[in-house]
Amino acid sequence: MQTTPSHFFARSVLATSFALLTGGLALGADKLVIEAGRVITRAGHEIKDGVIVIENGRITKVGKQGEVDKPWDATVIGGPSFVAFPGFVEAQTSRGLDRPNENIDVAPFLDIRDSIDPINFAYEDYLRHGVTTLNVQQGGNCVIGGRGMIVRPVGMTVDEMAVRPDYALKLSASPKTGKSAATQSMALRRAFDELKKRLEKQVQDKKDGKARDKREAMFQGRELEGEKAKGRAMDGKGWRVDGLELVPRGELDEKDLQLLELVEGKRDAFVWCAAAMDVRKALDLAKQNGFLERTTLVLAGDCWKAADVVAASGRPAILVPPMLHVELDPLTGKEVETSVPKAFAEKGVKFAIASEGFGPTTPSQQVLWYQAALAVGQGLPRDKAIAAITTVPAEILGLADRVGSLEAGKDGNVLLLDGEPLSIRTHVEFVIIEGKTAYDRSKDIRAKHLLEGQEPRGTSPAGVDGASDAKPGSKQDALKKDEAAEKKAAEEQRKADEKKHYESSEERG
Amino acid sequence: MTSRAFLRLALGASAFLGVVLPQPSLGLLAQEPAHETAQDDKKQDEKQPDEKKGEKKDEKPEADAKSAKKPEKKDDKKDKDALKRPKLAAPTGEVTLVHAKRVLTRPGEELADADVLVRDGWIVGVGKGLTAPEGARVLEADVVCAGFLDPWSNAGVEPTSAFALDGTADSQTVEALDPYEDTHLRRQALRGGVTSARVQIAGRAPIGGVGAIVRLDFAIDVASTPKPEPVDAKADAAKAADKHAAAGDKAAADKAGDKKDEAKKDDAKSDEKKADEGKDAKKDDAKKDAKAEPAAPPRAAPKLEPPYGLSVLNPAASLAASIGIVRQGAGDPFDRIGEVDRLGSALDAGRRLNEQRVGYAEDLAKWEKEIADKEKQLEKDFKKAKKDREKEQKDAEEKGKEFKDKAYKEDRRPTPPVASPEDEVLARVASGEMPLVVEAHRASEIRALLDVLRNHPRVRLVLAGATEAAPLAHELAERSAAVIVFPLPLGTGRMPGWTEHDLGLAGALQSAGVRVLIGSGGSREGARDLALLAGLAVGHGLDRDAAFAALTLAAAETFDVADRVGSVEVGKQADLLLLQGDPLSPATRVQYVLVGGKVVLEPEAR
Repeated sequence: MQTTPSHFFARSVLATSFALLTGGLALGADKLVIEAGRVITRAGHEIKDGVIVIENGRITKVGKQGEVDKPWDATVIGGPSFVAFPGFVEAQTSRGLDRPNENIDVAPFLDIRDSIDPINFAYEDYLRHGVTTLNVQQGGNCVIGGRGMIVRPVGMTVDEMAVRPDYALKLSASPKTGKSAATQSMALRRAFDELKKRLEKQVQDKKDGKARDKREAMFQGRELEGEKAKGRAMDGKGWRVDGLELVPRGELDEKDLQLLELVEGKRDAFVWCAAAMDVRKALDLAKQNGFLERTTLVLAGDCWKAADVVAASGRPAILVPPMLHVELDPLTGKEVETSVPKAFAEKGVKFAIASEGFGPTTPSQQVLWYQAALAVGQGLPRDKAIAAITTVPAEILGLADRVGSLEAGKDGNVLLLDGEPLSIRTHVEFVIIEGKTAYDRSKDIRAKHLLEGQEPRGTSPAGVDGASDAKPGSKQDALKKDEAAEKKAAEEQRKADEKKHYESSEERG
Repeated sequence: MTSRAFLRLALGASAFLGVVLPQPSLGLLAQEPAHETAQDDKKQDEKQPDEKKGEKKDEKPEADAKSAKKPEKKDDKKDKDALKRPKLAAPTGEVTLVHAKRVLTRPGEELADADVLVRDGWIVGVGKGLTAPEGARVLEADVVCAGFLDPWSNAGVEPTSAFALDGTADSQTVEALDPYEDTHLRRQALRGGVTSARVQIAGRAPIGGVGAIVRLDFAIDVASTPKPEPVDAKADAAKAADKHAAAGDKAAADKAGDKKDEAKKDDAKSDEKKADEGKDAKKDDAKKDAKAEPAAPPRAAPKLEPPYGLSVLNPAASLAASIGIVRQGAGDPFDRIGEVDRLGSALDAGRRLNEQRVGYAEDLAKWEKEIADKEKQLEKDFKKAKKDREKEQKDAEEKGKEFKDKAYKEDRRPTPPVASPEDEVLARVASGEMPLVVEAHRASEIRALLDVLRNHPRVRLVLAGATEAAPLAHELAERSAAVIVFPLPLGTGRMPGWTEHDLGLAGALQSAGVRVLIGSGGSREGARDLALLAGLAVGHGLDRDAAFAALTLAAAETFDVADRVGSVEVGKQADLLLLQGDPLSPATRVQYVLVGGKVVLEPEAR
């Protein structure tokens, strides 16, 4: 693994290799055996010399080499130098969109599927960094945003990418651009008040209509006939409108349906909080409108101050970078640093770590595992940090039985790493999504270009014919090769040291 | 007069005369030897009013018996209920006794060398020679008074919301409270003796949002502790009565009043019991429960949970407006009369909504009656109609014609008035339910405002700033408007370029009979200087008692929180200051601050 400090540059260099990375590398179509020196099935559980068998996209067996029956006709990849690890899960992001849908204040009728751009570089980045499942939601600059979608970062169309379409709504407890805390709350309050009023009016109209129909029938000397299409009674924990069964759901305003589903507790919600003061408001809003049990808070660094409030609510949280919250003490003027994940872990909050940054986003803030590694550096237990990018987000997304760990029955989303996970020197060598190789580092031209200066064919600035300053076989080229060999040797040595160090620390710990 | 109001009056009077109303659940005071004599007293007292009344004699023995036996049971139940309902904090039994050389109970009234007894956040006794139960915290001070209320502040409000120059009538200040930022500003205000404040978003917008009265210690949860039920006084009261020999008669009379109320309550309870005999025991519990609850906040407002809900005394305390404020980049500073007009028409819209609602209710009732009659008639005629119709249909079929039903037309149900969220707030202001706070400075603007408001006699007007209001003092008094004065010695805090300042304004208004309040100008940090500002106003002609009232009871009354704070009286929540000297002197130091009975500031802490 490596961060791509200037992947922006990389983007501009080559725009055609994505198809190569994703489409061209499928190995075993039905059966795949992955062998690895270490198989980390989930945080804290490890099998030495392990084997994973994937059939028809699902993991069927996980176990020790020799103890697991391998199908004779399966494709085999991996080897003793690899570490197999469950694919990372991104709990929410708004990268990879064509437009973020942030113009309309209350827009639950919008669907992110209309905005997802399958060939966006973000998905290639996600693959490179081992993310196999991600929840794409619109950004927090909204009052009530559109519906999100859970996708895998492979596929040339949105349908190919889809894991769960028509997923959760995004809401924001923090002021949208041009709003203050008070007016944002007012807008949220009004959205639900108006929904309630509209539903009540529709019910009243129906009631009046029925009463009129009845009277007309009586006037004409006939019984009321013709059962009208029936609706469903409203089911809301926060509030409900009596008599909604009189209104067929098909007659409800299309724009109201998603919000009504939210109030009825039939849709997940992700509520963005940029400051600690918003946490309480987000929870209150969710409680008053009956969707608290389906709410996940998306929290910026400042919210660590409200960690006890989050803990008391029992709701899970998604922490977005930066992991270290820095602010000035108003009296002393000194910088106060707080580790956000640690603060939440201390209060017993279940949290996932997400990679998208609030405010100016740096490239490293777009790397999921790196954020988890930072949390470990700040003192968060390693297992918790790993859980925060695997099992916890899987639970939040309702995919706990499909992704997040390597167990029989789950999706075959496996990473093959060349070292310890969360280490800055480890690379993702292979990404296998549902039994298919989605990424192979040896064929990642863009990464090669960035790391080794090797320029992809046809992109040399010197000319289209591929002529470059360093001619093949020249002195310079030989020098470069030597350097590369040296580098490689040094890297292997470092890795060996690191593994040793980690093992000894495991023994100690 | 409602029984609750009567009870409150009785309690207030008894408090003033030094009666303790301890709660037997604690069991500490009840252990004192003088207990029995007190009970005897109670019975004797109870007889007096009943003899006078005569009518209720029959029920009396029963009630007496119940009142004697009830307390233990009641407390058991109350504890259970407290556990059942998560919102109400269970009474902790935390008791604090404050002894002071001077207890300033209300503006203009004080007790020398007296005590204040606080339990579970509520004041349960004020008087001389109260004894502290075991385990109680005892504090000593020179002066004890109610915590100050800053009626013009923005302490603890998120700045963008607080200083927005455009507002919406239905935006809520409680939704912009930030308990996490700049806590030091609120600590400073507490050190200055300000325990609560009217915070107001968009106070300088033409029409701002809904302001709130909040406690400045956002973590305090007294609003949710059940109010202790005042039970009769015991030895302490007797002692106090002895000492106040001169006021003895009055005390007895008041006590009698108190008893009368107790008796009434017991009667009511026994009635309830009779009525509920066959019913569920749970219902009975619920009723008692409701009684144990503190007075509900006077206005319906968004339901908020801690930390907001518990420190918010009144979530809908005021609607803000302003006239002639220079707003850079927003509005026209010279469009002053336009602003007055627009405020007037906004209030018109609110009043119209009120009228429409009344009209709608009438129309609806009328329509429902008409329709009910019509339906009856239709039912009556139904058989005949059926026959006719069948015959017609048959005839038509025979003649090979098309059969047509006769259409039926009837009145539509009246439609309810369509109200925008803003109009709903304005309607509450127009009906006088919520005060209207207008920041205006120039005499001409205030005069124009008063003219416009002549059409709205119900609007409770509070002026903020009112720099040039002195010549209009009598008109303001006539209107019974309150004025929040910001008595700064310099031009700071005033309108830009406004150099004229008159520290005598508060005094001039007060002597004309206008209710004067002292505020710190709507900033987030100014509340700490509130006592100093009041002192300045006193130095320039404001009556001392009026100044003290401005900081406490008058402010609480103006914004409808006087049922809980504003004075040191039994039945109020314990927001108290323990001072070294006179509350308005700049040399005075605030030693302890109690907010909702909890000591939030101690001398060591500074």
